[in-house]
Amino acid sequence: MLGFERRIVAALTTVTEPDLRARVAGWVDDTLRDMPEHLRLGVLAESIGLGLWASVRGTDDASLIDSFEASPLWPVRQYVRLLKGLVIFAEHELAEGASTLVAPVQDER
Amino acid sequence: MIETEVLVVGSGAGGATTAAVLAEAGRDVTVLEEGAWVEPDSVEPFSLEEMRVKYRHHGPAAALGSPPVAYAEGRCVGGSTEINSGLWHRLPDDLAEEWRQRYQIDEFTPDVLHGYAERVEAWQSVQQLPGAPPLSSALLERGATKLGWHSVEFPRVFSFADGSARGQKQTMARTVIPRAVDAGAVVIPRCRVLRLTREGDRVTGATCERDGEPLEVRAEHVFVCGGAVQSPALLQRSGFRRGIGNGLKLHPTIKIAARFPHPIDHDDVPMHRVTEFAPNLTIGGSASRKGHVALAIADAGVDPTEAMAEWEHVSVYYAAIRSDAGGRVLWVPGLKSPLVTYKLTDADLSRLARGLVHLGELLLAAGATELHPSVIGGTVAHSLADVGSWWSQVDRRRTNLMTVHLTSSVRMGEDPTLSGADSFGRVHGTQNLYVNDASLVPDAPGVNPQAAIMTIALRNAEHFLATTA
Repeated sequence: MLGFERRIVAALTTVTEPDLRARVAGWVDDTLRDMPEHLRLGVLAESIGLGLWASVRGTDDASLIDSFEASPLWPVRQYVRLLKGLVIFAEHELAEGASTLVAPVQDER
Repeated sequence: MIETEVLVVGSGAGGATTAAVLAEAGRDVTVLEEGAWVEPDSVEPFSLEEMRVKYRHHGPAAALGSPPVAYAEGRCVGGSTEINSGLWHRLPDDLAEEWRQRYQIDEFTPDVLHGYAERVEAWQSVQQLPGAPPLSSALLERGATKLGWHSVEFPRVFSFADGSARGQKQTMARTVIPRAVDAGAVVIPRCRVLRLTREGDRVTGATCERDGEPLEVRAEHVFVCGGAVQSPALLQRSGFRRGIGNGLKLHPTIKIAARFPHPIDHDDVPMHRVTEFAPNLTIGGSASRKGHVALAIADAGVDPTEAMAEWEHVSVYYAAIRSDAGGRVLWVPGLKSPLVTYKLTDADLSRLARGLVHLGELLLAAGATELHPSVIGGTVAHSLADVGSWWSQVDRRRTNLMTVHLTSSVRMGEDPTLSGADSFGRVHGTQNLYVNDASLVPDAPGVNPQAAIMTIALRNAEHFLATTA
């Protein structure tokens, strides 16, 4: 991940436990690296552009993400949606107990 | 250097079937699979670990368009049969007949296809759940009954011989690949085919890469069975372009995360489907592990934290359509992954809106108290009036779509202007190059395609045996 991507992923991650945060970031990193190249190139281009814009604007991460989500530009909204989706999925799947399947609930018929 | 009579590229539903039939007939068969050989029970179904070891790209890829459609493909021995839900549905007779006429496909009558389907089913333990269905599935039936809609418990490729309630999915790695190996086929995992080698209208083998090392394979006949995205991409980068990669079809799918006043099971995919509007619209249930539930809620643009406090009460359901739209698979020189596009029509969006509304009605009838549609900013529904508001909310800017069924990128048929391969999968203009996977299925079937893929693959493999020495 680029530095800006790492920053956004960290801001989107809600779990506080350091090891879990690192595993979430690792999963997102692996997934971005394994994306189809044309999609990854698009994400990289956006990361560079948005990173420059963010450095000029100098706002905090939460406001930055809010502005991305509310952007009139569809690719910007998709950018944050992609990273958010990866983080949310990884957070819930990597959390302790997530892999313990809930006991089946049978229909009572 | 490997020399073989028949080279099969890919080991999913089409490739495994091809390899088993040809090897059992005494042919010398080598199967090349890009992914690893993963024991079917070594990772939990639909888990992050499964995505890591069995999926291409760790899971996410997208067909570009407005809106884009996320899709997933298996990449391991057994292909997508290792990661799907195992639902089994024969190709509907009316579709087979329509396709036979439209695409001029020889020996494609419903009677012929049923004969092959019966034989494939005998390999695989196709059956319904022996006991009561899990609640997540029964809720679909309950909602449909209340609305007077038709629903069906689909059979699946599952065996319950181990005595467990969940059963054991009969994937290619567990059933058909072992048949092929027992008959002498050689399966080589972690081997990517870079391109096919050719002399004129004959293919002579393949240039490959295994664990970073080059590998050359010489073959008398080649079957490309990498699925509807990878097969046309391989053919294109090997110089075969006419009728290849055009006409991609998929089932655009829209979802709802539904919250109920009671816990629901999450360890399996519902086996009921609401078929009231089939084949153009089908309603069913999705994988609903904790991560899927959180992701589905977030797809509505809602912070999932509150709803996830009671995630055991939430399950994910979908409406899938047969679309007018078509897509394209395009190999771009220098890139490993092909470009995939899909252009939804306005009519498709209307169908998706209709599907979402019907799905919402059904889930409310089944007892759901809160519905999160996969539409950014879509109304979180608690009533039929809320559900009605979705009609105007499903648009190109806000709708999140996905699919796991991709077909039709190398259509079969006798008319080369409409198809990339003949009635039995031989690529037009070639002597010994065949496609035998989802790419051949002439259009989206409106149902899970594994049965259609295996049925057609068996038919084509036997035709090959009958027509080659």
